[in-house]
Amino acid sequence: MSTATHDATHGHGDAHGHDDHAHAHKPTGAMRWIGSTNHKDIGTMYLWFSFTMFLVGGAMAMIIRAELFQPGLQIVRPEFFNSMTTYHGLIMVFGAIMPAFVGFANWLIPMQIGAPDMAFPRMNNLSFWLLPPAALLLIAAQFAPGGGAGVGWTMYAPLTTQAGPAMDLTIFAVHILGMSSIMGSINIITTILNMRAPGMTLMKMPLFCWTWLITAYLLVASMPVLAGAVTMTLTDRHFGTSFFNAAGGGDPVLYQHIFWFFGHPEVYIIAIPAFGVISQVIPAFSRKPLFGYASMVYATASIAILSFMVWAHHMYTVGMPVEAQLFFMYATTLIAIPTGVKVFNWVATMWKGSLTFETPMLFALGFLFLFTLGGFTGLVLSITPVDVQIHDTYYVVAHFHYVMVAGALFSAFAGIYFWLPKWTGRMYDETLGKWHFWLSLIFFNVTFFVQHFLGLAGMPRRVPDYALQFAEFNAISSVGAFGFGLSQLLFLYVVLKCITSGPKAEQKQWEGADSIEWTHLPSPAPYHSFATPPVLK
Amino acid sequence: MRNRLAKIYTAWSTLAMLLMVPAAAFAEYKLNLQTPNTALGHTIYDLHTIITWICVVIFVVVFGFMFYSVFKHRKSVGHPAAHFHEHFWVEVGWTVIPAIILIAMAVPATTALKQLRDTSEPDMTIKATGYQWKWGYDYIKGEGEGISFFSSLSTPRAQIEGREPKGENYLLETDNHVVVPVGKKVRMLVTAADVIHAWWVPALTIKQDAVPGFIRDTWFKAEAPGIFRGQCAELCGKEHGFMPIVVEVKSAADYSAWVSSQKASMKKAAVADAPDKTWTLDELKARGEKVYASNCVACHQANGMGTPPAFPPLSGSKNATGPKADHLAIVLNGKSGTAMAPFKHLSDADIAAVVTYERNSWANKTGDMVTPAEVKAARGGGAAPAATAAPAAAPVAAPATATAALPAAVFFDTGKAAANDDGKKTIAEVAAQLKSDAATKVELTGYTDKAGNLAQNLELAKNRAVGVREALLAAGVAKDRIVMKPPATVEAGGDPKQARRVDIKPGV
Repeated sequence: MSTATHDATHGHGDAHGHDDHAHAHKPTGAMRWIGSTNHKDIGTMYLWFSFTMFLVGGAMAMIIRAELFQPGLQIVRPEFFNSMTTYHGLIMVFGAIMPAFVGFANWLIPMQIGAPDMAFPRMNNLSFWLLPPAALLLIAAQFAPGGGAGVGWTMYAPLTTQAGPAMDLTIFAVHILGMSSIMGSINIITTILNMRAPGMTLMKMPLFCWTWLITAYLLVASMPVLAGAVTMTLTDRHFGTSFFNAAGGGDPVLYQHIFWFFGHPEVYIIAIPAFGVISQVIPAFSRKPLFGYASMVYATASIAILSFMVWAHHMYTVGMPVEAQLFFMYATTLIAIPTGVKVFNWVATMWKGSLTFETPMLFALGFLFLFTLGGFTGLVLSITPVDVQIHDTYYVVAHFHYVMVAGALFSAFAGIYFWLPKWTGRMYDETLGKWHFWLSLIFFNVTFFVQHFLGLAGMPRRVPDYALQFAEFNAISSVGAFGFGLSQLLFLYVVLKCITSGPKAEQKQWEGADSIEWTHLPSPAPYHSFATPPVLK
Repeated sequence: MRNRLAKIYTAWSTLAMLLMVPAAAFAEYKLNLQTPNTALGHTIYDLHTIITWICVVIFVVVFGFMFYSVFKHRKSVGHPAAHFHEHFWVEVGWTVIPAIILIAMAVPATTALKQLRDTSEPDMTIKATGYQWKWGYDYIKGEGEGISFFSSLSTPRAQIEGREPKGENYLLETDNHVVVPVGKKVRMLVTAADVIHAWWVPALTIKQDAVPGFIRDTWFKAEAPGIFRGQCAELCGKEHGFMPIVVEVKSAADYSAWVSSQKASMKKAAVADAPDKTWTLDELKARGEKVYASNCVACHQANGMGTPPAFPPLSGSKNATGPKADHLAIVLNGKSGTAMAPFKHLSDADIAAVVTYERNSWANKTGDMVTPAEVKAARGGGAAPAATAAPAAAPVAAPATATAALPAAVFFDTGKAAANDDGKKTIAEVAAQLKSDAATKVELTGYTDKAGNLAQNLELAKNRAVGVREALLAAGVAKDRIVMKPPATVEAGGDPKQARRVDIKPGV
């Protein structure tokens, strides 16, 4: 295909001859989306899919917080509660956050490295269209006989052996999600390594591309491990194996080792692209180049490598030998060093800049502040004897919501506000965007900050009911959660308003943005980004 | 102007009041770890405090820079952008300094961790076994050895469901407390019977996952008497939030008194449940109702209607009104692939009672009575879990007939290699049977568990089997009719007695 649609207006004259041809064959309506091999279409679908899943997972969170508003069982039964915590986790991780960043990758990587599209457009289409069936399986699991599998998103054996047919649907969904992720990663790696414009050396790439290159390797290395773990669960359930059944010579803790060998890199699969987005946004609004570009790349790579050596810090209470606990404690604390380097670099980027605080920058600063807070609670948790006290409590729940919500989600918001003008050619409503930020920031902290206290005082996670001394903080947390949930509807409104009636955006909407999608492409960006490679200095 | 000032004043005073109300209330709120009741607990508490403060200081410094920049380096105050983007020594500095801080944290953490995991030389040993959804405790070594009981949530369902006001220790109260003496090093062996649980008492600063099929250990040494409450900390299914742990620390004298009262009541219970006791239907039903309330009610509900489809009703069910043997088999062995766990850890009398109760309650009017002897027979059959096999469960009750002494099990006292009186009786019965039936050979297997030193355990199991062989030989059984098998281990979570036995099985 060619750069067809926008050639006339944007003057990449080389493909003129194909114009009519392309128009004639371009499907419209639903088929345009179902059959699309265009990185922008697919990126858009990823982003809408992830937002839909964000609302589904969010609705589950609302059920959880409604039940926990007061002590006692009021609204749901314990088995349904367990199912909600399980699918809230699975849907948010695999359905909302991961696809959101793959959506960013699809939209931005070709535009940032000067390529026309992704390397394997048809595989790109398939990797997206695997997601809706997987999501349907996860939702269908709620209606399986016996209800959803209340086993936790970590799906520890042997509880999974007891679960009903919902477990099989869930396992199958995880398989499909894994395939989608692996295909997406292969596409990203190939695109970045092979399709950069002349002059776009690796060390000149915007940091977002670097973070995705590293993330894609993490995905390729870790998703098959998860697939293996859930397959073993499946055969334990149905085909008489005993991988995780001690009575048959297996070991339930083996599951945890395999799961977390995937699960810890997974944390960084979510966090590293978020770092990438932040590394684009902060320099743009500081009007100053990113501080320590090379050290950012090395720090990201170190985090990725270390992430494969720390998995058992999720398992300090399973009864490992003390030597193993010491190793995992030391390895885990090491991660604080490259993570610290990144935070320092971001602050140094702002230092002596010329700062403005549009919505993307506000979300980036919210990210920086709260993600660092989550990082510090992570450091507390890495210290084994301390972790033993707060493992499996609300302290952990607070910790990972600081890194997942205030980290990854805030960074996704920053990225969406930042690139919406480039994607849609229209500007969002700055006032409403700022409202969205402040409401999210305040309600997020109301929801999750108090959960640190709950965990320290001894409230375990994944319980539908709790002792009376935890009542006040739970009530506060629930109020915050409802506020946070409602605030996200405002986000939907801001995006829809921008798409339908926002004022026209400029090619370089942000004064300090300097990557080539801003300097070389109009807003909205043409259907095919660079039919001929851009001229780079 | 005055009007505006008044407005501002009102706004600020309202805000101040709003802020003060929670501040006053916060005095009651628990903001930190529970006050530890062990020396190591204080160390860990302090470690947490120090690390948190280090984090706070770094946080304030880093974000001090950020907020300074946010206020001073903004475009709106006319700050021009500088162009620097790297500085070698600054970057080296903020890599090396955090590394030094981390090493400083790791040193005390390593010391504390080594202490936390040092379970050597305990004064007494207790085994905690997690079940869905209660805890079982066996006092294995030290004062109180032999005490064994279950401990489940004692908060009434009415409080949980909001039909009654909630009590002070809502969800953190149990029918039986784990009682330990103050100032003694208690080693906890932790395991589970079905899925993973975790034994956690915050004030004693221990949390240990209970992994089915494996025994892990941890320890504590309480500093002061008192009652300390905790909960299961690992998601273990539907009632995960409802299996608390209550540890009662007593002075040495009070503890001894508790031990003797426990021993006395266990003796009484043993007499009451003696195998030769004749039960009436009403006695069994009355007892069964209690057993049902503490083991079955969470899923199958007090009215027997369950919460289908996950937890099927018992009232009018095929199982609870069909053949007794099938009903008994499912209670004993559970149903694989479902949440129905095996309940073979309950006593014969309890199982007989609960099955009788279920067959004669709600819409079920079978009029059947299941006796402890039938339960014992059903156990002895060792039938495979009747997961899918429906009518094939019949042989469950068959093998153990009144006349055949085989197969038999000789039980030993803890740590003893010589048979006790009951054991000698069993051996005599087997010897008599072998004399009357000259064709049968027997296989002897000593059993032990994985707690403590495995080599020692296996040695003891072997010595016990050798002892049984000697006794059979002395009773006149020919040498070539006795085959010795290597000692074996039993899976964790069963009746501890099973780990102190020698099996005598008919061989070829």
